[in-house]
This record gives sequence, C-alpha cells and structure tokens, in this order.
Amino acid sequence: MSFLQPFLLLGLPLIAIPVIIHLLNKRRHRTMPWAAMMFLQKATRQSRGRKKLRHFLILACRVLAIATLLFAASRPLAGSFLGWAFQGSPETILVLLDRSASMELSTAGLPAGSKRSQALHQLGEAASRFGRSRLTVIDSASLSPQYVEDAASLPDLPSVQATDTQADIPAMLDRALDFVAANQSGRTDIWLVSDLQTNDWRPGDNRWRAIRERFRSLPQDVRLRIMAFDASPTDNQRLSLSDVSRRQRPDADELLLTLQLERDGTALADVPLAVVIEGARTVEPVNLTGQSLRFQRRVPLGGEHAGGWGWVEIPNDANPRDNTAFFVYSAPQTARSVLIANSGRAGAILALAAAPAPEELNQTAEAIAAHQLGTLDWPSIALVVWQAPLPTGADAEALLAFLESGGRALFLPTGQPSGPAEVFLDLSYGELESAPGEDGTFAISTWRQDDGPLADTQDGNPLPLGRLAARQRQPVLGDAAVFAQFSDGKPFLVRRDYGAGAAWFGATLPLAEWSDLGDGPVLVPMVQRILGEGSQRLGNARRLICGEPLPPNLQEQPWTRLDGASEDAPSGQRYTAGVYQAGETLFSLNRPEQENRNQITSREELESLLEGARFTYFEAAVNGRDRSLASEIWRLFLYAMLFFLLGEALLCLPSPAQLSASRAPAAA
Amino acid sequence: MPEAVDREFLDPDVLGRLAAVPLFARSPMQGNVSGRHQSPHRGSSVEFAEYRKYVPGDDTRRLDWRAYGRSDRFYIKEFEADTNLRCCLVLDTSASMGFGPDSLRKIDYARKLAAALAYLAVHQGDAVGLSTVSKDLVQYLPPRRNPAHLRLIYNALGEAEPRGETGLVEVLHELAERIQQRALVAVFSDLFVDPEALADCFQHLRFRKHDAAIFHLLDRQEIDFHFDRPLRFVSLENDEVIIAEPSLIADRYQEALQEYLEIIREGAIKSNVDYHPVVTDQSYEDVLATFLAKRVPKQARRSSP
Repeated sequence: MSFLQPFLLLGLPLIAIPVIIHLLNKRRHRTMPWAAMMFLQKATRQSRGRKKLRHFLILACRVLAIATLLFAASRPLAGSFLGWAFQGSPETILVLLDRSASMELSTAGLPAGSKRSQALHQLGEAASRFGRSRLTVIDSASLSPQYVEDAASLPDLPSVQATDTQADIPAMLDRALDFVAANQSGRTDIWLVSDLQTNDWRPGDNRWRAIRERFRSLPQDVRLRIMAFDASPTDNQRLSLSDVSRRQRPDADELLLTLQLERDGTALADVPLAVVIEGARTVEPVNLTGQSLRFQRRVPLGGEHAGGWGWVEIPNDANPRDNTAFFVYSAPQTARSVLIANSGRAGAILALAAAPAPEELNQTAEAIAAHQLGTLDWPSIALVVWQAPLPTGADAEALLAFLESGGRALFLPTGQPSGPAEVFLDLSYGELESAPGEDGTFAISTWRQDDGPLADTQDGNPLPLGRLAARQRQPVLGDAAVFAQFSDGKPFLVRRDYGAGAAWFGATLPLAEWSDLGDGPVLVPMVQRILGEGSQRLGNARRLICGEPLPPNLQEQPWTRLDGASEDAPSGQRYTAGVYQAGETLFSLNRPEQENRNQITSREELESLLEGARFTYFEAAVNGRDRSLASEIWRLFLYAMLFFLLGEALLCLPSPAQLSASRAPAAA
Repeated sequence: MPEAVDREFLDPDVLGRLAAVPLFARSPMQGNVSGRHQSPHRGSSVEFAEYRKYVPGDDTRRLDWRAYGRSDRFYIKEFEADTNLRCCLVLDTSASMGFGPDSLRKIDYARKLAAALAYLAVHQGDAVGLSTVSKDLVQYLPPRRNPAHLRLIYNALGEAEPRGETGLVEVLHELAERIQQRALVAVFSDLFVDPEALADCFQHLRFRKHDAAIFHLLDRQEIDFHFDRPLRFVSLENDEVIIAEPSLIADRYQEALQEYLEIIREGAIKSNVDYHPVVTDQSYEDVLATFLAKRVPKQARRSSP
C-alpha cells in the first residue's frame, strides 16, 4: 500500500493521545488514602475483569479511530493488493490517451518526462498486471482503436507518441462506447488519461448528454477511471500564431504576424522571440508583463517574394511543443466572396460586409443567382454567402465539394421554413419567429468570445453582441457547434464542419425588420473572419491545424517537410507541426490555438459531465511511482474510523447500574 | 521516658464521671491480691459461695453450726474469694488505624478508650498492661497495678503511631498464650483482618479463660462510603491502588461490609467475646459507659439505687 500524502503519516504518534489522556485522567482522580481496602477489593472484584476489558476496548477504539483518520487523510492507495486484486481482471482494458500538445508538459512535481510519457509508463505497468485482460488503445489524434499485444510495449507504440493536436474527449468516449458495443466485451475498464484541459473536454458540448445516456444504458459492467494529470505547470511559455496576412506596400510587401504569447507566471520577463523566414533569423525581445500578450510583428519580405515559409519561436521550456509556430504565405490573393441572396437589400449589406474596401483589402463580393453556381471558378472563391432556400441536388454537391476543399459558407434565413428536402449538412431552418410584444426583441446572451467569428477583438474588447436586438429569427434545426445563442437557448450562429471547410448558419438577417445586424459592428467582423478562414485555401500556401481534416489534394500526395526539423515524427507528419510541401501546395501545420489555454476542468464539472457513469478519479502521481492506477481506499479507512467511533460511543454508554446510580440522587 | 508526651487523650472530666461505675470482669479472675473481682477460688469475702461437707482437716472454725443444728451433719460454709483484675489492653497501631479526620483518627479514638480504661482499672486497684500491635507485637507492657505504671502506659499510648500492616491475628494468638492467668483482654482495633481467622483468635482467648472485649473501631466514611466522584483509593498499609466510581460499587461495598460485620459478630457471640462496634463519631464516654454498665453483675445492679 502506498500513500498520496505520506507526510501526514508523520502524525501517527498522535494515536498516543488517547493513551496519554487516559493516563492523565487516571492521575486526575483525587487520591483517597483508604483503610478498608478489603471491602473495596471485594466490591470491585466482580466487575474488574469486565471493566478492564471495556476500558481497553474503548482505548483501542479511540487509538484506532485516530489512526484510521490519519491513514484516510494520507490518501492510501491499494495498488496491487487491495485495489485491484479484489476487483479481479477486467476482460478488456480500453486506454483513452489524450495526446494533445499540452500533455507534453513536464511539471515540477513529475520526474523527468512529460505527462504523457509518465502516464504511458504507469499504464504499461498497471496493464501488465492483468495478463488476461485485452488491452486496446484509442488515442485522441487518430481515434482509432488499436489492440496492444504486449502491455510493456505500450510506451513505444507510434499511436501513443506526442502530437501537436488537441484532444476531443467526447469523441474519444463516443468511440470507446462504440468499441464496447461493437465488441460485446464483458467487464471493461476504460482508463482515460488526460490533463483535463477544458478545450479537450469541451464541457459545453452537446454530445455529453448522449454520452451520459450511453453509459447509463450499457448492459455490461463498464468502469471509467480518469487519470488526471492536472498538476500545476511550471512557468511554461506558450506561443501561438493567430493570423498571418500579407500586406502590399509600395516598396516591399510585409508579413503581419499576429502572435499570442501566454505563460503561467506573472513576473516581468523579456522573452526573446525569433522569427525565421526563408532561413533568415531575427531575434527581438518581447516584454511580457502579464500572463498573456497578443501582439503583431511585421516582417518585411523584401525583394520579390511570391511565397514562402518560416516560423516563430521562443526558447525551449517545460513543454517543447508549444514554443514554435509555423507559417506559410503566398503571392497576394484576392479574397473573393460569392453571394446568393433572395433579398436584394440583404445581399447588398452582406456584400458590403464581405468587401468593405475592395481595393485596400483586395477583396471582392459578387452577387449571383443560384442557377449560376455551375459556372463558378470554385478554386478562386473563399466564401459563399447563401441567403436563399438551402441548396439541394447539384448545387448542394458543388457546395460540399467547395467546403471539403477548405471553403467557407455562411447560410442565412429567408423568412420561409425549409422544405422537407431542403436540408444541408443535416441542418435546416424552422418557422419564422417574431419577438413577443410590439417592441420585443430576442437578446443574445452567450457567445464564444475565445474562438470563431464572434471572438473578442485583438485588443481584448468583445463584439457588441449584447446590444444586438433581433426582432425576427428563424431557428436552425439540427446538431451543430453553437457559437452564439439567444437568451432562450436557441442558436444565433452555429458551425458545421465538413472536410477542411465549414458551413456557418445564422438565425437572423441584417435587415431592419429582422435585427440590428445590418449596423455593422457585429456583421462586418463576423463575415470578415469567416472570409479570412476561407481565404486560406486560395493560392498554393495553406495554413492548417494539426488533427483537423485535410483538403483532399493533400491527402493524396506525399508530404515533404521543409522546416528542416531533424526530429522524426513518430506519430506521423499529419499530427506534427511543421512546414510541409505536397505537390505544389505549401502548407504549415500548427498546434490548435486552444491548446494554449491552460484552463482545467474541475472535479465538479467532471462529475456533472459524467453524471450517472461509474467513474473513479485518480490524481497524477507526484513522485513517479505507480500510484495513479491504484485505487484510492481512503473511504475504507473513513468507514473504519466511523466504526471505531461508533464502537467507542456504544462502549461509553452508561450501564444500567450507572443509570440507576445517577437517578438515585435526583430521586432523593 | 520523656514527659512531653502528648496526653490529649485524657479528659479528667470524663474520667471523673466514668469512675462512678466500677469495672467488672465478666468471669472469675485470678489476681494476686484481694480485689473486687470474683475469683475461681474460695476465699474470705462476705459473699456466700456454697456449703460443702466437712472433711477431716478442715478448719473447724468454718463449720456452720446452724446447719449442724438443723441437719445433724457437719458443713463447711464457703465464701467467694475476691481478687484483683489483670487488664491487658491491646492497641492496634497498624497504618489503617490512621484513617479518619485529622482531629479524630481511629488511633486517637482508641487511645482515649484505652487510657480511660487503664485509669479506671488502676484506680480500683487492678493491674493494667498494654500491648501495641502492628505487623508484630510492637511493645508489651506487662500488667501492673501501681499508679506509676499508669504513666508508662500513657507514654506508650502517646507514642503509638499508625504504621505498617496488621498482624493482629498472630499477635492475639501470641498474647493468649503469653498472658498466664485469666485476664481481661481489651482489644482496640479496626479489625481489618480475615474475620474467620479473627474468630479463631476469639476461641483461643476463650480457651485460655480470658475475658475478651473487642472495641471494633470504624470511621463514618468507611461505613457510609458516600463519595460523589471517582476516586483513586490508595491503601494505607501497602501500595495497592484501586480506581473506582464509588456510586457504582457502593451497593457491593455495603454488602461486603455487612457480611464482614456479621461474621465478626457471630464469631464474638460464639466465643462469648464482649464485642462493641464503635463508630468514631460517637462519644467515647458513652461507649465506655455502656461497656462498663454491661459488665456490672446483675446482683450489683439490683443493689444499686
């Protein structure tokens, strides 16, 4: 047996307290010199044996109660003996491994090695105890189950190596439950290893409800064990590249890099930031005063740069995977938007939002009729704004192909509910709803301020969605990621990913009778950001995120890594950040920006997310020994303590003789 | 002997009042000199004893001529012999006798009784001796009747301090043998000994034809055993310690005490021992007055006004 808080065992001498009190109490009795001892001896002889035994038992109960309390506080773990031996071997052990970049952090409390490697080491040892159990790993990057023949070889598997991805825990649990259902496995232990980062767990995700239901309805005994590696990190600095834009200047173009630097400490620090572009390295310090800094760095391109690549980096620290961000750029491209709008007024407003300054920003917005879709030069389009009945047939197929290759589409309502066949990506529009009362409006209560087209501005100010008043709306029907919702819970803006692209669905129109959206403060940044995402597919330089779906052309061709990293990528290039070339396409793969957010899902949130599922929570070992997979048995000690206290209370109850003795004076 | 020995146990007023009642023995005594106590032998007192047939050699002056006139036979008229008393005081000086309030420990009470009895005996011409008993016989003063001997006895009483364990049973057996002639053996003790063994002592004293009187001294606390909190009882005679809740064991204590007293009483009755249970909060004058009054012969009582 081992303990998570072994230093509390230093308090074990405290068990002498009842004995000391007992001895002091004995001394505390007034001494009475007595002559007639022979009668006392006779009077006490009958009860002395029983009384002594009772006193001994009371004392033992008190001593044991303190001892068990101390043991419980020391958080005992029954590793190979109590914890697991009594439970027997499960038929299947399903390891869900969070391979997100944040798992590569080496925390001060942990010995050398990242959280992931520690977890693998412990998992390997723990799993090897159950020779008869079938060990299967589902990793967060590939989400594909992999049978592991030899538990000892677990840390060496390619599918458990470090990645620059983020994890999708609900998807992993879904996949695990699929696996359990498909394999009809008997008693199954699901060991979920994670650092509990909120962006991995996604507490607001709608899938959690279904996961809870699935856990509840499982016919077999499935236990979920969460190995939490949520130890506080050291002063780790994280660098991410939010945006890269190429600005045309009369003399020479320049790259505008929008960077985000975050860390856990707050001490004033100058962080040397290196920008490497086409082999040229420049280092400039960044004065970091708080925990987070968003800043821009201009990099003159000089000469004639049609396209190129580079990276920014900060010095190595506790997590080697969050210090570098790669970028690529291409020759200037016109961000072309195509509008299919039923309402001319809405189309005009939307066109203005998509290209507010066509010349300066190198953007165009073109309104076309739906039947002209077939004539479009799709590779040159970044955004399709669709304010018409949802596409069907060939139109829908063309749009899906556009999305798959990384395009973006923004759908807006028409005022008419979607017909039965008008369903795009399983989403459709419901009946038109008007706000109750003459001046009634639908208010937007929550929206994603950290991500997406409604995120806060670079200087940290939120978009004025709180002031946006919608008088009419058409709810979006179907499951999608909600990015903003009205106060009654109905969505205002949702996203549905498809291939390398995404379709956005809005619930109201930028028309006065619909909402204030046409005023601009919300609509323009929203459309511009969606357009910015779509623009990345233009040209032959693409900025991609590790783990996210790849455009079809990149899936088919072999990749060549260009940034000269000497390290191998055992987990596969697809999950490793870097600059790659596939055919003529130059692209960068980066860690998702969300991985930089060091927000941890609390224990209470976990319990709420997994309500109804049988799960056990283990904190990470702090000294590297195999503890995390051992069962915490402090409850056992707590029950023992209660038992001893109850026993002590019962033994201390006055006997009938005492009761009668105490009543006698009162009666007198 | 030092004169400064404490004599607080003597109260002249009490002695003066007690002196009005003579100390009698309950059985004939064998004294050295003439006294006021009945002797087993015939003598020349005025107390008629019996007639017996004349046998040659008898003093003819003791023939009862009136009897001869009535019966034509010679009878010798015999009279009781009066002798003095040997009073052996036995004082228990074991540590248990030190129990009681500071002003009136059991040994203090015993001193008063013994001193008064010694005074009364010497005052009426009887011999008084003193034995102090702890684990063994500590001091033995043989009975003498001269008043100067009384001072030695008082000194010995004053110096007696409660100490050690009780060896009363062995010492009483020893004294029963050591006192050659019939005597009044007055024992002042709390009798915290085996009552069966004590009964044997009584029998032994009776066998030796001693008139045994027992003053069984007990403190009020020892009888009532009333305490309101747990106590650590420490033996006065050895290292024994008993921690007890008196309210819980009071019943059993009383049972043990009463059983013990009953055995002592029965032993005393069987052995014709003059047994006086005494609680030390009683007046010792009353105790002695009762003791003396019970000993007055019936005839004397009748004759007394």
